[in-house]
Amino acid sequence: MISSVVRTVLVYLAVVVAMRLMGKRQLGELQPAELVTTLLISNVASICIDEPDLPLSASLVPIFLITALEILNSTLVWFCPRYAQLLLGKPVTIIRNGEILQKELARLRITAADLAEALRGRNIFSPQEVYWGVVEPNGSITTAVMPAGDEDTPLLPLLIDRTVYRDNLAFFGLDETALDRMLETQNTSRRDVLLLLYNGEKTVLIPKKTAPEGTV
Amino acid sequence: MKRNWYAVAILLVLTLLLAEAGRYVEHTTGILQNRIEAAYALAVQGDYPAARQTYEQAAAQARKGGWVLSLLVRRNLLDQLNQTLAVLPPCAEADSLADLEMETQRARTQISQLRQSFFGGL
Repeated sequence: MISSVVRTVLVYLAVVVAMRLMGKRQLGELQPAELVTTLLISNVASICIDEPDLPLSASLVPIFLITALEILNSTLVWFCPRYAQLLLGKPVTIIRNGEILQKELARLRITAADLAEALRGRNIFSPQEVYWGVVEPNGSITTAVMPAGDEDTPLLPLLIDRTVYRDNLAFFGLDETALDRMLETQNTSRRDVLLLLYNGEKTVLIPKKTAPEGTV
Repeated sequence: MKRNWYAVAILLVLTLLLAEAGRYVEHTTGILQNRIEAAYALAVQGDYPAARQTYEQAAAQARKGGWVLSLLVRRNLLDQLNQTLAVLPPCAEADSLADLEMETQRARTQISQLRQSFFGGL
C-alpha cells in the first residue's frame, strides 16, 4: 500500500513537471498533436500505478521522453509553417457573409444541428448574423459577426506566417498576384509578414520580429 | 526558446540514465551469473562448503542490488530470483546434486529474464 502511495505521488509530480515544461499550450484548447501527447502521458502515467509489479521507470522515462519530443515538435511547428499546416491542419471557413458553405460542412462532417448549437453557444441565433465563421484546427468554431450600422467590417486573415488564406483572397476578389502586389506597396514580402488582415478597405500588416503594431 | 534547452537536457539526462541503468543491470546480472556458475562448479567438484558460501554470496549480491534493480525491472522477476537463490545453498550437498542442477538452471533462466525485462529483445 505504502509503495502505491509513493508511486502515485512520484507519478503525479512527474506529470505536473512535464505539463509545466510543455507550457501553457498544453493547458488550453488542444491541437491534435497536443491531444495525442496528453492522452499518451495519462496512459503511461497510469500503468505503473495500476501494475505495482512494473518498475517506476516504466512510467517516468516515457513521460519525460514524450515531454521532450512534444517540446521539440512544437518548436519545429513554430519554425516551419508547412509542417505546422501538415500536423495541425488549417482553419476551414463554413460561414461567409451570412451564408453557410454546405460543401465544407459535409467535408468536415459537421451537421447543421452541430453548427446551430455552436452558434447558440455564442448567442448567435441565425447564420445570417455571421460575417465569417471558421472551424479551427482544434475543432472549435470561431465567428466574426456582421458589422452593425457604421461599424467596420471585420478584418479577415489573408496571410499568417507564410500561409495564404486563398478562400479569403477569393472572397475579396483577389488572387495571390494581387496579394504580392499589396505586399510590394507596403515594401515587404510574404516571408517577412507575420500577419496580414484585410476587410476590403483597411489592411493591417504586422511584420515579423517587430513590435506588434499594425500599419494601417 | 529556453524550453528547447530543457527538452535537449531531458533527452541527454534520459540517455545517460538509461545507459547507466543498462550498465548496472548488465554488471549486476553478470556478477550473479558468474557466482552461480562458480558455485555450481565447486559443488560438482565436491567442495560443498565453498559452493554453499559462493551461493550465499550470490544471494547477498542480489539483495544488495535489489533496490536499484526494482526501479528498472519487473519486481516479480526479482522476487522469483531471490526465492531461487535462497534455496540454492541448502541444495549444495552430495545427495541433492540433481536438485542443485535444476535450481541452478532455474536461477540462470531467471537472471536472463531479468536482463530481458530491461533490454527487451536487444
